[in-house]
Amino acid sequence: MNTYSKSYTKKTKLWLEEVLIISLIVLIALHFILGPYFSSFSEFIEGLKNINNNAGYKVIFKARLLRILACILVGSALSVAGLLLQVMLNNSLAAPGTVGINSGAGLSVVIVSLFASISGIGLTISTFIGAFLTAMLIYLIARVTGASRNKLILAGIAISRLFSAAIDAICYFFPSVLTNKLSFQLGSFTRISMSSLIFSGMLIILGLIGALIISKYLSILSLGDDVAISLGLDVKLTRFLLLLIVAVLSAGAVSIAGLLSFLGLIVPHIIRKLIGVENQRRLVILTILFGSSLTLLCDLLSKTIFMPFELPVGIIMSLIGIPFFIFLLFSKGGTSRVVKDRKPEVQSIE
Amino acid sequence: MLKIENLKCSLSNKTIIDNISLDLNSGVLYCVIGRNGSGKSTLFRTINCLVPSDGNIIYDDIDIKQLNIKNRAKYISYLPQTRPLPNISVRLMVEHGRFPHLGFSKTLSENDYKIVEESIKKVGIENLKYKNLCNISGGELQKVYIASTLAQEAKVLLLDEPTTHLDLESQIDILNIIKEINDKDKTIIVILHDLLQAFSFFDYIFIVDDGKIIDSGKPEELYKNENIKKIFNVHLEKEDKENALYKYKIMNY
Repeated sequence: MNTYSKSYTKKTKLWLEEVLIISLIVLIALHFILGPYFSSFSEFIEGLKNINNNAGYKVIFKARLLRILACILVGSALSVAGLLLQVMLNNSLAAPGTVGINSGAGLSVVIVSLFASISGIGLTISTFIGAFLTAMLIYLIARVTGASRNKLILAGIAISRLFSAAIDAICYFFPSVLTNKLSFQLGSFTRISMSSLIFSGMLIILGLIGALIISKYLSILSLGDDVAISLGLDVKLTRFLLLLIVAVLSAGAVSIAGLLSFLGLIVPHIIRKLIGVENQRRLVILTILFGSSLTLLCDLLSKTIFMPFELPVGIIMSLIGIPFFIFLLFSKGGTSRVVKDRKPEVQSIE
Repeated sequence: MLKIENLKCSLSNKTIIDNISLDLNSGVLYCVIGRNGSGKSTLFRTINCLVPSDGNIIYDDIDIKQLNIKNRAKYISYLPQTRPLPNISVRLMVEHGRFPHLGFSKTLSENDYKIVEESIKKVGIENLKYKNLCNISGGELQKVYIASTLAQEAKVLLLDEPTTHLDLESQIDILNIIKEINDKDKTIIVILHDLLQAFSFFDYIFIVDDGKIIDSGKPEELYKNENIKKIFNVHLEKEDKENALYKYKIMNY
């Protein structure tokens, strides 16, 4: 008995896993060593030696370890969410940030914060409600209007801007709602707490397991709705489950790091370009590895470039992401690809 | 035998398929011809239950509309005219044809692999197995999709314009493959725009216009039909009685 498609995965790019795992380990090590409080290997070792009443030890395990875990969780979540959206909409511009799911989660946090101070599980639940309702709004727009996949991306961008404007408006009239509005809107890992990390982390791990399970349908879904249905795939159910997983992952990420942009856009696009959608499980695993590494790298830069001051990590990501976004818009792969020499398929996702 | 009874389909309050009834036997090559926008592709999408419709679609006493999506795929296979081009290998594309026959783990058995190999061999694409779909020609791509529908082992094959945009050699190649894969267990229906190919390669032809079947018959019965002249503005003539070769004259030209 052979695993579906296992025997035909090309041997090319096998080094990708090795390279990404090594980069991840190196970046984790650098994250432990470098930072505002101390920034040398000897100080790091010193911190490890004195377990009792040692400030260095606290920095390593209470600040930096939490931050590393947060980077890995958020990087994986947003990248895999982007991957699912890109395959589902067959469009490289799709990501939780561009279709408005992140903004929906953010708006939900801001609205709930109007009435009560939230953290921990409350924060995670409110981001999930916002992300899920936005995902369902996109699903309904597709279903009611029969919008094409490309139009849906544009509708998502409009929704994203609308929700961001709503967040701005609420924060303008009620400045106390978000104590650190800028960090939240740009995305930052400076205020990580164990309580928020536990619940959001659980949500993200749940979403990643879901993504690994559903990944076996991604390649069939990439054939287009008519072919996928003709092959016996319940496209509506698969798409609903995909959106649910995207909402779970985005909610977890937003409740930890705020509204990080571009991660869900860049990572899956690069990985899909490198290995295609041939081996779906490998695609998800590589996306997790690359997403975590890139987030760790951006966060490392954000906390070390202007040490002891920190930039929100979202600024670094935008600096990388915006040129990449423009490149995608004007490159061949930026829109959905159709069979050569044939008229473009205008296919509704419903 | 595929039996279609009183099939009706309306989209955006417009009737696209208007009360079509067909009896289609296995082992016979059927061709559907008609103008652009006459409802040919919608007829295929309706038979494959991709759009809501009234009427019955019965295969050997089994009501296709009552089957779930997965079981329906064991009966009807559909190759649409346009579809996205996925970044996957030829081999995986053909393997996808086995999808309706796989269990929850989506694991291919030795038998599934055997069927995939046979399908690849039947359409003659062994040399393309490990190539990416994005890196092969249009004609090769059509062969891959046909191999995938073969691997699906469905009873009914619906092929929507499988020769469009191909060079003449590839068109003839595809039509020969369709002839070769036709057997007594399959019902193959193909939409074509080339009248000469339709009349030369197929056993039975349906003329669709305005969502209705306005005429049907064997090529030798149908080529003088007035509807051919009316719809296509050509006059069909049989050039070679022995070899079923046709030629056409463009009317008023």
